[in-house]
Amino acid sequence: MFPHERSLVKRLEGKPFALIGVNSDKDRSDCKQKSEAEGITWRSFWNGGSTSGPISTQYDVHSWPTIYVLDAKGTIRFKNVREADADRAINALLKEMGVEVAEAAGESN
Amino acid sequence: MFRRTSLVGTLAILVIAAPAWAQNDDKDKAKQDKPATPAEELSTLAKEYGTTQQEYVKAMREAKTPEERQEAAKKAPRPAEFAAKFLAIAEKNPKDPVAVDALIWVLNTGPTTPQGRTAVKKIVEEYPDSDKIAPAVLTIARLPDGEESLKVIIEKNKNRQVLASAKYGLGQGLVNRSFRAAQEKKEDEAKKLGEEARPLFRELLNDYLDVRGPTGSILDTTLGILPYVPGSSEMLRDVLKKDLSHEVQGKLKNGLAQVLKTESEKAGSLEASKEAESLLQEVIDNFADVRSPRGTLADTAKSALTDIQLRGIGKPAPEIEAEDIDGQSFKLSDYRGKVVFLDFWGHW
Repeated sequence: MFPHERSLVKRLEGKPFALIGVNSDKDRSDCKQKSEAEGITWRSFWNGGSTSGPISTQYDVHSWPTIYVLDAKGTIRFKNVREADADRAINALLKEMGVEVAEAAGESN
Repeated sequence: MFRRTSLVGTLAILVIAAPAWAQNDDKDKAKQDKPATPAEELSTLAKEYGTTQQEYVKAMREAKTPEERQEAAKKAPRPAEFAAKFLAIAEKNPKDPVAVDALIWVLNTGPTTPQGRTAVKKIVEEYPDSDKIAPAVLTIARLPDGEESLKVIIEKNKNRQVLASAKYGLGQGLVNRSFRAAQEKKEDEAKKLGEEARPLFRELLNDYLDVRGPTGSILDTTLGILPYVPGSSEMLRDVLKKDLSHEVQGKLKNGLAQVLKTESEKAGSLEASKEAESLLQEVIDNFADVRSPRGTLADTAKSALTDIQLRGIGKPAPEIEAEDIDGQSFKLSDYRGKVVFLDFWGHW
């Protein structure tokens, strides 16, 4: 599961980049167990055990996955970009910071 | 994200319409001794279906325990049984106008049965020019070979309601396939399918805005899907140059705003976001009275505007301070200085 997330984390290791989750699972220990088994390394906020928890409400999230891409200043710059679009968006923001990264093509899995 | 509207939704509308239609022949009751005409035969069967459906719904509503629900579920009309009976009427009376109605009932009661397949084949081969097939078109669109069937109907039919429904169904199918291709990382195929869908939506916007399809006005259903059609902002701008009624103008402006909002989010365009914002404000100021499928235009415009103002492109991300999965508190702003991919996810 989550092949794209996994490849993002791997590809951008050591760069000024962070993948932060907001997890809306029902059961916290179950989520922890599954995440460990799947090798999920990124940190997630706990949305209170519900898809209508405080964080998804604050961000008006009604469909999953929903993605926000923020620049280094914490400004929202892209929304709901996936796969190749997400790679392009992140690369563009890193480039603004003077960080060059390799193209994502061919290594997305 | 949009999902394929379920077949069930379409069917429910047709089923509700059934009893009213079935009553048309009540006045003929006096002629009971004569053999039933094909129309009477169809009407009797339609009534029988309506009654079975109503009894099933009633039993489900009254069932309290799982056992009762299981028992009530048995009362559901059997798709293959009714589809076969409707099909028999169509096959017995191929020259009677009732044949097409009966085929539509086959698709209404059992679209995925073998009889449903036969009904589609008959509609496409024998009645593609019929004025009456609009209610069947969206069902056909979702069945195997739906695209090919719709292309034949578009070529042979002259009725605007049928054409609009067929073009919408074909376009929607292409957009769905394009979306799936994109998910499977087949970007070229996704692009090609999107471009194939585009002229269909352009035609719908140019020529069929006044038509009512089986699931509502073509304008409303088309506007719902346009945020997922490439290049639709340009199409909407072109249509808006025309002389339009207050209602249509309001709906198109709101539609353009929604399209621009989605585009701005995907492209990270502050300019598109600002344009969406001012269009939404215009809709709220000047077109608040226009009714839309979900309340009024003002309702949909206000919620989109709020979203742009609080969480739009160029706005500071609202601070989050909460526990992680392990119970450790942290803040989104801890990651200032880094590009952040904020991913709302779950194991489902």
